[in-house]
Amino acid sequence: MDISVAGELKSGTQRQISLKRGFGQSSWWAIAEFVGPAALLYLLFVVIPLVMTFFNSVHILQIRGGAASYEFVGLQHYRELFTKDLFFGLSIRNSVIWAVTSPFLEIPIAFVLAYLIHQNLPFRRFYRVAWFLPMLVSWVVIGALFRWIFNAEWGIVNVVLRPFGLDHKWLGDPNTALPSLIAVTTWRFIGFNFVILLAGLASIPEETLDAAIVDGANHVQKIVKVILPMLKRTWISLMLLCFVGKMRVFELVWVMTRGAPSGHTETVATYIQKRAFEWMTFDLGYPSAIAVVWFIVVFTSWFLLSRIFLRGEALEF
Amino acid sequence: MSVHQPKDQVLFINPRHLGRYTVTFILLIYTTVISFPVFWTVANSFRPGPEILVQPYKIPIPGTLQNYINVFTNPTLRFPLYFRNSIVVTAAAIVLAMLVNSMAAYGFARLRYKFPGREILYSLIFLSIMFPPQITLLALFQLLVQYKLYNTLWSLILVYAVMSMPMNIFILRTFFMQIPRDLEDAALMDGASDHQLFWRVMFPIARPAIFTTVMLNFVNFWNEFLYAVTYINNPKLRTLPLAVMFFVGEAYLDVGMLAAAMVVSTLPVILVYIFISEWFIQGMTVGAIKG
Repeated sequence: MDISVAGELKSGTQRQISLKRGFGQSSWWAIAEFVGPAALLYLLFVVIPLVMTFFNSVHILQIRGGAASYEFVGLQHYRELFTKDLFFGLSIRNSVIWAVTSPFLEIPIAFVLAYLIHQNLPFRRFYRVAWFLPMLVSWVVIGALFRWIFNAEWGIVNVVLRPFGLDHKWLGDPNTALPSLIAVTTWRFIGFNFVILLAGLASIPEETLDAAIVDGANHVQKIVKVILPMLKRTWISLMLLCFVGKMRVFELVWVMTRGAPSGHTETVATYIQKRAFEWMTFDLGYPSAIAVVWFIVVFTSWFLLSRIFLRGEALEF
Repeated sequence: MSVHQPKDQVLFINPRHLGRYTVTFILLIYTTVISFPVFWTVANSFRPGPEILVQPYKIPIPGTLQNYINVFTNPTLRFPLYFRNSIVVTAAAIVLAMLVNSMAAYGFARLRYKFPGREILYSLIFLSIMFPPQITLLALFQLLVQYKLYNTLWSLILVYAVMSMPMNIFILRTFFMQIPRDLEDAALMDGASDHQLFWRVMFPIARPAIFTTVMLNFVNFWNEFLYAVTYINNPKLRTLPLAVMFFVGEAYLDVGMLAAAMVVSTLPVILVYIFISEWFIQGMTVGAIKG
């Protein structure tokens, strides 16, 4: 085929070039072949849509039969968002609560588990495999599953709590709906954080821990004074990762509650989806404005938090 | 931690070990509790639906396979079709991601392929790992409609491959950077072109890292929901997560059959996981373990 001939010809000339330049710079053709496809896909599927979202957010955009019609409205969507839209405020509140509380649930629990397992306990491999399992189950299946778990009549939570008179409509009560969902995401991600923290613990030299024991340190002192400082980059990275992850929660809510009761589990992602496809407003401009605001919020908080806590060091991940 | 016990003391419960027994006991309880939802679903999938509502907690002995037979034969469910869709999308996206990402990672890894703006491009791609997907979701919907890709499996294949780029390229680039350069110099000395160098030498060497990314992508693509629910409207093109979601809405009364559908849709991932769990865990946590 042509390609192989061209390849051989090229290799011949390249050999001369290479010999001259000591295998320094390659040809533009090779660069285009390697990086080109990824750069093109990234341009088409990330850069252009991203710029378009900003553009769309100052328009009323309707799509009818494949054709888009634009009407320029300036900052009207943004004004409405911040002055009139109560659901937007509620969804921001819920997403932020989710993102702020989760790191303080997932990582400490995972750390305690990792610390216990690290004491040469039996069944170590079994725990690793079993606890990681929820990470492999899709959000849709998890959502369907936990609708049963929290079922008011025969869900296991209420079956266990009923004898104590503590049964409750977990997903129906505005006060417990969001905490119940946060419990589900925590359940899913503990194993992930656990695996990484366990690897972190394994990387601490035995002598360091032994020295602490010789000094008569108990478990709490050992953790607070030796382990946590040594693994600082790991657990801070995990917390940041957890934070950003919870800012984008969509699937679980979409399957379990759809924002009910009355918006108390609405997240920004589910609200955007509703405004784009379910409210029959037929305007993609308004949800684009929400997306822009959210993008800026997530990006700035990520930037600030990693600056403050990682001091410009690379994320351990 | 290295307290050596004489052999004859093993059967004697040393007070020093009491703490260890307690902790092991607590951890086993904990494991039972957090694994309960999964086991319960599997148990329900072997029981007739109406019976579950009467008596939700019962070990299914003897169990019935009727739910599984129903899932695959009930013509209104079209489960085999959705299974096929998921396989097509996941397999195609994995192959596309593997080709595009491995080449890009190699191009980003070696000084030989440096071009102006390369580091900026790499940082940009990596940075997009923390973008909320909504910043491109709707505009991409608009573009897919315009270019007649909306409501096709192609839309998902392409979007999934792009979605995998930041993490995959990061993993593969790190791997390529660790390979000594002598190997490439030798190949170039022998007159290999860059094309041959990559496909005959570097790609085969990178197989472990590529396998890691394939595992990561397999789980992510197989379970993906947000893009599927946004870009697929045609019931015939649903992937398994979509199918299960509609199933929850339509047939919630038959708990047994829904449980079987949930198990079947998760089974491919779990089966692979059982055999190579370490690879899987590594694939999904790699990078984080680094250093």
